[in-house]
Amino acid sequence: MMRRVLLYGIPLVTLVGLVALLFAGMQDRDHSLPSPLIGKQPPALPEPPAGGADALASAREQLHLINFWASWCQPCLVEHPRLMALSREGVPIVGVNYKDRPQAAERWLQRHGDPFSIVLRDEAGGHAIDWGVYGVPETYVIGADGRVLRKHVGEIDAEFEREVLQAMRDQQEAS
Amino acid sequence: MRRGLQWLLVVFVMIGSFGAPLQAQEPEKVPLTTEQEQRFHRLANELRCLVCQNQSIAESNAPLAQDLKERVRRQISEGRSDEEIKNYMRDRYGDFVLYKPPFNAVTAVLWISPLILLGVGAIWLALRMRRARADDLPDDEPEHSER
Repeated sequence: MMRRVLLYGIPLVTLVGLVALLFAGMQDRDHSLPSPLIGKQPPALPEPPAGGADALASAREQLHLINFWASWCQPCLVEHPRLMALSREGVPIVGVNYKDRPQAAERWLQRHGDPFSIVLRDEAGGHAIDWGVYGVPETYVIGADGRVLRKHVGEIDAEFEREVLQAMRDQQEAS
Repeated sequence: MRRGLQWLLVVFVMIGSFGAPLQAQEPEKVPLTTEQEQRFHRLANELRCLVCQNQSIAESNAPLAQDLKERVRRQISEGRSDEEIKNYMRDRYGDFVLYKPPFNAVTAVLWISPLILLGVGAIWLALRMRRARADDLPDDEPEHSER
């Protein structure tokens, strides 16, 4: 009897286990990727435009976001209202304009609104590779100490927005 | 019919251009020697195209894969070793970029699970064979008569 249970039980349990594992994998909608940068000082950013060094420096003194985006990128438009909201709440956002034409980027910001403290240009996409960017949009949360706290691939969502605002409040209370 | 096909083509081209950078600059390839070229192809086959479904960067024409291939070429021409180039990619994109991920705490499940499956299969087979042999011999197990 015992042997019979094992005989049919083992393959059945294995199969059910595998299916459950695959199913769990499919449900995983977590967009925060295990970036090797997390907890580290991030790579260099593109040089700021003339007169932009101060804006960049003051953004980097506190908790801020680095957002890789482009005017040709549809999901960037989807997440744009959230960036605007975060910017209104006082979160500095450094925009890195990825493989884009300066005029197209400028027009896009004029039409939809500009959430960025400063826009840096990565025309060849080389800086994006240094940051481990898969594609736009991608957003990094950088702490006041300059370390990478979190990476988000794809458009940012309500949860991301909440977490960033919470982190900013925690920082203000601490100081 | 011809017209229909032409329209289909137009639609495909339009879909294809979505999400692609407008100014896809044709990257000037770093020239390599034949030997370096072979190294490049081997490395490109070991590096995952991160934006594709299970393709290496060698197989992919995605813009990011092109850029990464260019980085690999440049580093080969600068005389970097395979290990250095792989570490360069891993520092940026993590273990996921390597088709053969290294054995560590995170990837342990990945490496060990086939062995576990094999073990479970072997145990099952052993049980089956023992049972089959038991079936050949006369015994008085009640389930014997059910078959």
